[in-house]
Amino acid sequence: MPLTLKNINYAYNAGTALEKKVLKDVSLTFREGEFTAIIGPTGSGKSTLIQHLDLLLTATSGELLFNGENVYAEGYDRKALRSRVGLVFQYPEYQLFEPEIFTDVCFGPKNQGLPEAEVHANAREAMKLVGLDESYDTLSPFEISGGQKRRVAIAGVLAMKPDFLVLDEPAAGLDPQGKKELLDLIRGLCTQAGKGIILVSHSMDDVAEYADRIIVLKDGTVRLDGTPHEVFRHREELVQMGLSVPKVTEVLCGLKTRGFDVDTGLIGIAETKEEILRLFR
Amino acid sequence: MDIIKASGLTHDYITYDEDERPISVRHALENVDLAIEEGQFVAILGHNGSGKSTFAKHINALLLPTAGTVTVGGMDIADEANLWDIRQLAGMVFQNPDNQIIATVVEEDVAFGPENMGVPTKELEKRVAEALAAVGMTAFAKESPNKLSGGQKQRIAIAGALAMRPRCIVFDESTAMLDPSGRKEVVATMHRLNREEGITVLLITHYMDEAVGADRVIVLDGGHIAMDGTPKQVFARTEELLNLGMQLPKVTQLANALTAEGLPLPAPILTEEELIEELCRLRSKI
Repeated sequence: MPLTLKNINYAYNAGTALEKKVLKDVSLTFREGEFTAIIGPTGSGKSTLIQHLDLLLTATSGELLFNGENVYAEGYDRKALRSRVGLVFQYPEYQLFEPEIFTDVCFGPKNQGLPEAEVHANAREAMKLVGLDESYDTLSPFEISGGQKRRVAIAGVLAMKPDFLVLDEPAAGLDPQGKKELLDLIRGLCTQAGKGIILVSHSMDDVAEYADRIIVLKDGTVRLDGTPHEVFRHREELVQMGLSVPKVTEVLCGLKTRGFDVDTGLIGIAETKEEILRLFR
Repeated sequence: MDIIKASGLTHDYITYDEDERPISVRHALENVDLAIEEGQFVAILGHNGSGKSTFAKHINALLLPTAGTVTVGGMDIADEANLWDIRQLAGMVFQNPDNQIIATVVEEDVAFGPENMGVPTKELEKRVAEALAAVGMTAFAKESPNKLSGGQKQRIAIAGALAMRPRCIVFDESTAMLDPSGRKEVVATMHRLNREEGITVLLITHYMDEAVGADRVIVLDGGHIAMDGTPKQVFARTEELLNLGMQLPKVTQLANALTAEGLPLPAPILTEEELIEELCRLRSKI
């Protein structure tokens, strides 16, 4: 069930002297089973955009369509939409509050008004999806590691069985190992569980490695939209916006400047290695 | 001269039950001996929970040792009489810029620290102007901080620390929330302060490529020092680093992959420029 933004405009303090347009005519479609990364410099509208996806903000004009139906239409069940599109904020571990992990994960489905057996079943499944077994049930969410806390927080959203999972910088502040584990997990939620992933990130290396599609926002408009390989070909444009390209792409660009005939549109270590070795054959 | 010296530093976090009886003890730092020379740029790495931030918080006496001693500029941090001198000498910049800015005008925010210490107005104005110039934010002196980008806000936080005329600044993951250009701005500012003002920099980070530019890299693990050396020395010990939950910089990974295919590159290669240089050199020999 696709989630579509159609000519979305959003302004803070709309209609006042302080009006500030944050999203300008944004049209995008997100699909299930697709890992979409949103990148953009600070203030480009990334967070504002994702807050539209589960109706924390309502567009000043434009349409939000879920499965073809206009979410803004009168009588639309907006509460139901919030269960279909799960939002994981920055530093979600700050939102854990129950004394025990399992109870915390149950909070979402319980509020959906499900019978207790189903609440428990959904919470159990969600914990399984993030790789936490029953031995975690009665632990306090405050005595586990940072990476595990994030998993619990994500499980709390997954327990509502969303089709889409929207994450704002989920790996910020985690160490390299914790970051890799978490991103592998999110990739798996997309590939194996078929969730649509929409992930905001500042790390070009991460999005190059994990995303199927990258959307570049700047000043509230979509500047680029394509596969990582397509997007990172626009190095100059990205640098001008205050973004960058993956490190290995920088190496290729440097070699090109020095007069070598290399493809500067590569982003992975393996393919870059092959391209460089070609120079020596 | 050593600006920071920890001897046998141990720090325990103790959890208490409702009746304030201790129920568990976690050793965040255990018997750490570490001396940091004035004027150095030191990066501290380690996985979450390795003791990095606990160590950093001792440097301006936000935490005190459970056992052992820490001196900063020769002053014992456990002696309360030294508290304000130590905090003046060692500044800190944290992760989230929004949590560190309190005033509604940039220059007032930068002035907050020294003003509280009773620095006279004339001197205060001079310090604020110098601090803003040092981080390249003079043009924003009269602006409201909430209109600035993340990188700019972090530079204001650094200016606030600088206005205290510190000899050492601890950056505790100060770039974690910034976009690529914001990160670049802040890292460049750290290096300039170190090089031009001689300020000792302690950089706590999860970004391996930020550690590459340091004079010295320390890796903590389970409250102990696991590795300590120049970036070249530390990043040459691949296996050990990976076992500690760290990673090699992406460029080093690429260089190692090329070496494995038979290209005779020196190890370890830490920056893009270095790799490009070496590849050009090798190619010219064919």
